[in-house]
Amino acid sequence: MRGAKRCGNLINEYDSARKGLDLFDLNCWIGRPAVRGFVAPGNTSQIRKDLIKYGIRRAIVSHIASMGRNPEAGNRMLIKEIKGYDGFSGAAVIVPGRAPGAGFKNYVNFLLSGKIRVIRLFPESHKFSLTCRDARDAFSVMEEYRLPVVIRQSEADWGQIRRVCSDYPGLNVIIEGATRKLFYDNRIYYRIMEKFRNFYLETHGLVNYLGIDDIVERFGAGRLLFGTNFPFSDPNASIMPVTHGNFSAADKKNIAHGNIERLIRYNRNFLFPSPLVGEGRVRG
Amino acid sequence: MIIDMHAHLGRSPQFYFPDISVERILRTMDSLCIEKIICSHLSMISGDTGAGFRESIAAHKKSKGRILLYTVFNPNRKDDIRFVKDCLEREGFVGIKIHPSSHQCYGNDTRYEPVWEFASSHNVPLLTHSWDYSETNPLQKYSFPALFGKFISKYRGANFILGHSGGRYNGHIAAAKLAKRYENVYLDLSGDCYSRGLIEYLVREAGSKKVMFGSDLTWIDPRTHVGRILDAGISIQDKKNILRLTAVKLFNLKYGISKEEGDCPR
Repeated sequence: MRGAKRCGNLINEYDSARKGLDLFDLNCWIGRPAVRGFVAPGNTSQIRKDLIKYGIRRAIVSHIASMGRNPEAGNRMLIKEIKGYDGFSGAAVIVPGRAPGAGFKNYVNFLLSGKIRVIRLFPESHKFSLTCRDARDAFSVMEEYRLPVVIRQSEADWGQIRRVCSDYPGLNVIIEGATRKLFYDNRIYYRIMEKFRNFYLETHGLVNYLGIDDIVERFGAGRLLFGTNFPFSDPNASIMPVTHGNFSAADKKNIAHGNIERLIRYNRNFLFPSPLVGEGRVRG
Repeated sequence: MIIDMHAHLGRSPQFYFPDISVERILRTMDSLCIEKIICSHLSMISGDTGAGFRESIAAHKKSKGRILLYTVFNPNRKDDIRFVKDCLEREGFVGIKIHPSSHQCYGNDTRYEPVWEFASSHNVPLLTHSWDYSETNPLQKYSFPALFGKFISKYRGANFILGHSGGRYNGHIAAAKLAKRYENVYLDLSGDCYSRGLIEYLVREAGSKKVMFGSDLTWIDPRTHVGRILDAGISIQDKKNILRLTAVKLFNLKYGISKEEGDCPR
């Protein structure tokens, strides 16, 4: 049937473009969600299988328990869960000042040894300020270890985010959206992007018309990191704006995987690097 | 080729819109095999009816008919149904849009009676914004799908589309219930609603002949929707219904290029 063939062509073209990007998802979650959705997420193994169907072979994963229940316990569960999966690295959630044991530096070493490559912060939900002393101490350590920090935009004030970028030029600060999509604040983050080279955006909240194309045109593709909010959101909503973006194939690959690999010094053959102390910093 | 039945022209002051020109919209449509797009102008929704109307007509002409138009009914303006009638007598206008959240008038308010009556008696599709109750945007309470039930059951002859299919989880459930129960209720996939499994759920509940592709352009990027429809766990026929056939039938669109899907310009 003619119509079916045409629709099939579109499907094949999209699927092929998707597979060609080697997608690396910065925003994936495991664990049991507290709210209902149309699809039950399944266990870590199922999530891994589902991601592969979308052409996503690598992901930075957080545990729902780290955000909603107990960060330290959730991080331990996360480390245990991702241990057996080569394609998974972790994003641990921390509450500054609550590091267990002998201080935050030791805790960071523990996290790194468990394949944690990114830290996530939820200042509003966990009731702390990004400019409080505990947070500042944590940022100093993360900067020293070149451990990127992801902050959910609805959890923090843009003025504080800007101050973190300014005070810690060696700390890579990544902002992600959530229910309220990130693009609603594009007038604000364009100014921060102009000013600070250590400021990045995760893409799943950049769904406004030509939103990603415009950022690439103004600031280059190096400031965008592919993310999906899986398993809550459909990854295709994040994928097609990249596969069908109005920018070069090299830009697409950088957004899809190159930029995050650079930020976490990802190496397929060496998953447990030593902390990269004293390397050249990105200047704002 | 695809029909995008829920889109906009113009911009809102709420955030920065990179490029809303007709030329750019047409380029986007070409790149995604979208044959026609049905738009309501954001100025017409927000109250600057004259400017929105003029720009809508100009866009329709410039696009050589590929951009089709909704007129907007504002329940707060007493004689607005006259404006709606005038628009629909012009070339390019194929439907009516209502936006209870923007106009702060609940979906079950009697002030909507004239537009339901008109839509029913003239067989003109009526599209509404619909959404779930929201902590971040309290105005969404005006547009919860169940509010429209009173008019839906009264005006069975009016083809009614719940834009965004209720917006978020509880809204989606309520919207799907209405589409399942009433023959004259349709759903669209527009907006920043990307819940995993949503398309499959709506097709399961209401059937693909009741679900349509809408992008919400110039607000939302159509690529965020096309990919998930192409990849959805539904049949090819369901995808064709969503991407084109349901809208062609509902809006009585003339076949632009071919009966089924036409030729993609790429």
